[in-house]
Amino acid sequence: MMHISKIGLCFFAQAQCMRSILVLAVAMFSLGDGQNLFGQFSGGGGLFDSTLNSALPRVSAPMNQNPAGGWAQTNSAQTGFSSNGFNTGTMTAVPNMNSSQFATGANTTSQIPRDWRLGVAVDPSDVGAVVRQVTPNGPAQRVGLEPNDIIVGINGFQVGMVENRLNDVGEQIRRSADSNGRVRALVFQSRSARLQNVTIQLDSGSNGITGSVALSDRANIPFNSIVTVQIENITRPFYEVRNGKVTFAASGNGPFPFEIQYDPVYVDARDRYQLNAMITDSTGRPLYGLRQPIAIPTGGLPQNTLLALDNARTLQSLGQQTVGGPVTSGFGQDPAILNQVFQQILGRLPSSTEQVAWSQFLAQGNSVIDLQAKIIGSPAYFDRLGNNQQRFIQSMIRTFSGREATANELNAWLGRLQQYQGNREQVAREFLQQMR
Amino acid sequence: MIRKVEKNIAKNFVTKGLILILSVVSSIGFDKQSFAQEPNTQVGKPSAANAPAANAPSANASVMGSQVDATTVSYQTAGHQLQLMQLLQSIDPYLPSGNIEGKAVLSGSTTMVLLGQTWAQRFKLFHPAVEFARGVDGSDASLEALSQDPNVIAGVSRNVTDAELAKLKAGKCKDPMVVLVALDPMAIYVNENNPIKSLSPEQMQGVFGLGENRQPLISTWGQLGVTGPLANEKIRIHHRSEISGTRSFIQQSLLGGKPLAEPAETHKSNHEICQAIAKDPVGVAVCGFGDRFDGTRAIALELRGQVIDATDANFLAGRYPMVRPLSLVLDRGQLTQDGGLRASILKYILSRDGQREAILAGFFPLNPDFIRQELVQLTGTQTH
Repeated sequence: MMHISKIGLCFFAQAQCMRSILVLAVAMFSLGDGQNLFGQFSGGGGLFDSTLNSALPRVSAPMNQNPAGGWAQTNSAQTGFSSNGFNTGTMTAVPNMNSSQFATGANTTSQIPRDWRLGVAVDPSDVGAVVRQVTPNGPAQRVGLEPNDIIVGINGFQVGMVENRLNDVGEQIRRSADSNGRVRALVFQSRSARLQNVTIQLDSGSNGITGSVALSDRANIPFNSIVTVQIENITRPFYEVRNGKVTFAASGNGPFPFEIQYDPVYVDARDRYQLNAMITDSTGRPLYGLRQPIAIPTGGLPQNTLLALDNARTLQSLGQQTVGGPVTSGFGQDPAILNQVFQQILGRLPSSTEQVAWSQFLAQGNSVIDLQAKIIGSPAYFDRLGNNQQRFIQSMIRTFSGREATANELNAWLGRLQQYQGNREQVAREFLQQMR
Repeated sequence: MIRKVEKNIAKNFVTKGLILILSVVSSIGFDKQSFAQEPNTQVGKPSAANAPAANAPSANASVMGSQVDATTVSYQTAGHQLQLMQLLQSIDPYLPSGNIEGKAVLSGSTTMVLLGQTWAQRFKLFHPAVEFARGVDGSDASLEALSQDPNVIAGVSRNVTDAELAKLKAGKCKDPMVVLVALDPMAIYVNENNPIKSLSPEQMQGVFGLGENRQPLISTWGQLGVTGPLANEKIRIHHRSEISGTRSFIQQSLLGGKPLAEPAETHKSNHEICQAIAKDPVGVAVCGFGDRFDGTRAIALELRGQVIDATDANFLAGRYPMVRPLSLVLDRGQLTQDGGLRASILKYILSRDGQREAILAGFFPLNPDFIRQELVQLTGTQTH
């Protein structure tokens, strides 16, 4: 024991120093000492020394595989950094602790991973996560954790900097906690200089909204349709609520139960929120939408809310989905518009990566003009014109008005481009708005 | 015994510290071992965690890649879209903190300036009191500007060399910091009728670089294993005419800084390069994934016997490593003096919205775990 604790202390000193080193090392923001930020071939060694390895995207989050198909709840992929465990918002309902009742209708998986809070502020180090602060009455304090203690591991997994990669405490907690929010932690107690195993009962870090999605025409949705339910910030639509969205595969006629466990830290008491839902086919084409999103009251969270969705055709006849017109949440924008605009401007269809990001762009309530302006302002389009501003203006006018630019027009719009500090997107938006 | 352990740790610590500092200075902290992993191990454990597209055999993947996916709304495409959605979901949204105000000067390469402006506009939605100004254009010029004025944030769409970092330090940017903000995967393009399937790093070096006698080691398609009418034809290299991020990428990353072979043709844009490749049956060029054009074909990489197609799906699964980094370079000293402005800007860029904007500008997002690591290095203490 003595031996171990001595090492522990020494480790601790090292952790302190490591911190200052880390501060220095940030200059590279690189991947630690073993990794080279710049892809490079080693001379003749035959190795492809890619380097950006750890920066490469990689779907690493656990995913509930749907046995019937590829789609599963994507909420599970939510991970990571959150700044504190306090509920700053007004949505303070007690989270629904029983998610098993949502083990669902046809083809859905609904094991919702929760956000759990340990109630500590830590600095990652080579020997573990060094505790800096402990939240009063929080889970960590309840098991006696104090500042300067080191969390060495969670359920057998080392935390802190492990081989120069961060193994995040929050992430490890979420992966390891059992359904009741318990984890086992190996902790070095600085006061007694002892390593100890402790079982910690975590606090829930999320608030729950539950309900189900129904089809008002009681028809069947096809195999592998996608149900999306999300919390939207009405006041500031760009301000996303972490874990505020669930997406799952479904088929049949429902109703399809859902549960959202959102992060209350992202809820601002000054903003208004609503609950929205939609169903698309597997290509993203809207099948059903909500005629009127449900306002989320400040007094309490909707539980067991029934969201009755209307057929897309019905909604269209109600004029809700007019392409280019104001769209409440953008739900129901047909991906076809994306293909049209891509063809019109770039002469090609979007790649599947682009499709996802641009669909989300439309889903944020952006109009077709926004879409056109952003695509014509893109680096790809500018590259096509030899990265030449004059050719850009000429081509923009030709594309949108079908005629050649006059010398005056050219000068005027080049001037605008200057005024906008070269921001082609803004110039294009202005041009499109003038054309209207 | 204990003393010995302590000593070792101390030694280890010093070495590590040195390497870390070196990596700051040299920016090439080079350790073969860390690259010795097989490409397929980079994918992570093949498990249910991968979306279907990630597990698709390469034959499928190449079908997906060559006919741009939207036309064939296939099952794989759907799986791949899910993969990206999942990736974006794994990146936390931006969480604004406090009243951020002040002025930031964004400067950088053509590519990065545009992306920077978009990020600035989105950031201003959260923090309307912040002002952004556009600095000088070009990677070189903006690094120069940063060395004279530590207020500048320089966007660089190529590698930053150790010499450049040293120069910044010698100037007014005492503590330069390079933050990786997005990725631009690169592909090797040939004419669609060229039968070549893949190129290894050594072959690429042979084609694009110069050998001992100042001549490329590989100059005909036959030397790359192509048989038939093309075998005796000379390889014609197409490049950008001016110094561009793409060209720096080839020189720095593919050739390790060695000189480029003389191109047969030069062009003003990547688009022109691809148009030319579509007409040139013996042409070859390196361009971004997004530059793909009718009549061209992106060929696979061959890494230690593994053939990896240049597809979005392979890149998103972490299998395809040929990528150009997009970074912001700034003075770390400013982080503590600007009331949180720079830290917030970086947090926004590394948020879901910031990474999605990078995709809209034609690039790819970073790995969520890597982002988390960058954020820890940026913000230090974390609350859980």
